[in-house]
Amino acid sequence: MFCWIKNLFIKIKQEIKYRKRLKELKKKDPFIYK
Amino acid sequence: MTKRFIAGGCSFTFGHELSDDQQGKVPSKKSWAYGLKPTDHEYVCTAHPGSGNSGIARRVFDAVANTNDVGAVVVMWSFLSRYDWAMPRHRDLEGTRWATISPWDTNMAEDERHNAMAGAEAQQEQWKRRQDLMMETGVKPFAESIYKYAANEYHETYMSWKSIIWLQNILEKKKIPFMFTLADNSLFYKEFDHHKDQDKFMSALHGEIDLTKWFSFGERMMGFNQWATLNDYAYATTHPLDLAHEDAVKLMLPQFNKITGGQ
Repeated sequence: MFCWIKNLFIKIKQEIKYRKRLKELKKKDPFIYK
Repeated sequence: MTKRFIAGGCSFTFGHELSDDQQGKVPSKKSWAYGLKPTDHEYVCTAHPGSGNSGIARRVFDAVANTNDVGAVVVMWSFLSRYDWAMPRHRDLEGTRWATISPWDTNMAEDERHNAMAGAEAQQEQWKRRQDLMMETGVKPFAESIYKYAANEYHETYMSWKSIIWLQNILEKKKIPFMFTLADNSLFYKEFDHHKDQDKFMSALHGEIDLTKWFSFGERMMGFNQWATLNDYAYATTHPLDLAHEDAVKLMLPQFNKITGGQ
């Protein structure tokens, strides 16, 4: 019954981790437009 | 016969945004790598803006394998977080096959990209063309998936070090003098912690890197970009300008001459 809540929780956790890491990477990695 | 001097790296070696930059079409003659080139050598620049370490190793190997009379090789290794992938063939990919993928290729970066290019119409146009191409070749959704589900520092460190060791061993086997350097010390460190201290595997892998053939810009393997920032060199948008490259050459030259036998 609570399976979908668990899945949603995992997805949110994954999304937060992804956003946090990309934010860190982009601080160092210079932007190239081509 | 004229000897060839092969340079590998990312935008810092290509010379992106330097004073002679021709919209990224021709490698700069103001870059650190060109500055190190012995006057009687021909310059072969394999550097590619946005390239990661796997891509750098691949391009240098391709040049070494297909060039006669290689006098020396210099490489500035780049950031861990960039990927190089042989995609299904497409005429618009590098060599109809290769894709360079960076964190900037994800959807999450759109707002920041827009800000970075505010007012620069030519850059915006170029970026839009790249985006269209990335959708057409399938690189865009692939980049999104990599960074969302699979990318992590451990794997990226492993891939980067493996590329470095692979190229190092090929150059040693071919008896080609070489010097490696780096753009940023995140190749070896996370803050103050060395990546090699994570486990025995990483420690053993690091042990295969011949650090006697390296030049670093300071303690804890400081990279060129960190050194330029620390010393307040003038920057364009995201790259240090000509003077940083000129001064870097002065610092690197003694080590380069020592490693390559002053060729």
